[in-house]
Parts: sequence; C-alpha cells; structure tokens
Amino acid sequence: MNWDKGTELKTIDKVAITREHLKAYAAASGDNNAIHLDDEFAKSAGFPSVIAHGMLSMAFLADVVRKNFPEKEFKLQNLQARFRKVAFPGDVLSCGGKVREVLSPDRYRVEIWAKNQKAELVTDGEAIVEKSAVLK
Amino acid sequence: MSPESADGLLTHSEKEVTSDWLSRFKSATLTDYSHGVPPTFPTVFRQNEFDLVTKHGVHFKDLLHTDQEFEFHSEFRPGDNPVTKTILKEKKERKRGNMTMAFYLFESQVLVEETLRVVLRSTFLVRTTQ
Repeated sequence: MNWDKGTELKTIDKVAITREHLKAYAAASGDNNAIHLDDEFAKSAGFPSVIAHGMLSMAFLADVVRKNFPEKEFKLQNLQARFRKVAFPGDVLSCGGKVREVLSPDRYRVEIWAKNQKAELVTDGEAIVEKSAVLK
Repeated sequence: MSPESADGLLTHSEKEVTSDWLSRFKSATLTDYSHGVPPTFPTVFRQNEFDLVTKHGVHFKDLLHTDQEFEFHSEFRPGDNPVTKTILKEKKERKRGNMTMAFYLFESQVLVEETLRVVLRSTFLVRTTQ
C-alpha cells in the first residue's frame, strides 16, 4: 500500500447506534452520565433524546485507523478527536480519512472523520501511526 | 473522590485491567480488534476529570466534551493496576454577548508501576448565560 500525502483511507460504515449500544458502552467505559441513558434527563438538557457518547465515535475513528494501518504492522502513537455534532440513537456513522502528512518514510499523520447518514460531520481528528515502531 | 494535592494534582488508583473488561470494551465499541487493547480504552481512566470539574461547581448537564487526545507510550495488559494522575492544565474563558464560554483542559498520565502507559488530554466546554 502506498501512503502518499492525500491517499484516501478505506472507509467503514458502522451499524446504526441503539440505546442498547449506549448502555453497553456506559457500562464498559464507566461514563454513566444520564444524558446517554435517560431520555427525560437528556430532554432537560435540551436534547430530543439521549445522545451517544462522543467517545464512541472516537472509537470508530480509531477503527478506521486500525483497518487501514493494521496493528500488526503499525503502532498508533497519537489519536485526537474533536466532537462537532451530537449523534443520536438511529444514527449511522460512516468513517474515513486520508493521509495528511508523511512525517518520515514510515510515519504518517492521518486525518479521520465520522459523518452521519445526512453527511453531517459528527467527529473529526487525526492520528499518528508509525510502521513497526516498538512500544515498550 | 481521591485526595487532591496542594498543586492541584489528583491521583487515583484504578481497578485492575482484566481480559474480561477489555473484551467488554471491545464489544461495546462495536469493533472487532483481534488482539491488543482498543486505542480508546484509556477513556475509562477519566474519573479524575469529572471529580475536578465538579469541584469547580459544574454540573454534568452543563458539560460538553469537545476534544480528546491520547498519546500512547506503552500498552496496557491484563493484570495492570493503573494509577491516574490528573491536573487541570488550563482554564480559559471567552465572552460572546451575554454568554460566557469556559474551556477546561485536563491532562492525565496513566502509569503502571511508574511506567507511563498513556497521556490523556480532555477539553470540556461550559456555557453560561447571564
């Protein structure tokens, strides 16, 4: 695979987010904020329903990196995300990206994004990966 | 809540990283990592942030997570007993009309037996209207 600047990453489409997903993520992550679990609480905060954890969308971004830069060949050194828009149960996120910069022959900065079914940007960010870097 | 040192550093001993926990986290992130630790797993070590922001009088309802960064140093393994050290790195306020926006940047180091596993940087926004 040729990782020149501008190379588009393979995209991935995630399944529709459900309330069950949010419960499972809350339990596994420890983020039991009622805004993700209780519709009435979410409404009192100004949302039409519970909202997905921003960190769930960041996990999807990490998945894009992993699928394009396999973990057996590349080490992820840095992962950043900015949460632009709230995601709700029923939303389907598609994730992709491209190589933003070749930092050195085997080290890349990639930009990554997640968009909903309306093509609205939900989360974006960047990652730095290095081929065969060894973490202690 | 873990005790906060005089310099504002909050230290917290986390529960043990287990294979079961990693498996549940992998499943919950709707990914199929065949090996290794999901990159966003360190999000589980962010309780200090919530404790510190609560000390600033902020309610969950008003808290908006805007940015997150992970800087990876070494890999978590089952059996790890991490310790998280968190500080409020920066607080900035901006005013826009009658609205004040306060940005809180927290930085955490997660260590296992003094070996740095990951650095987390989390930014929250709190909007208040006068």
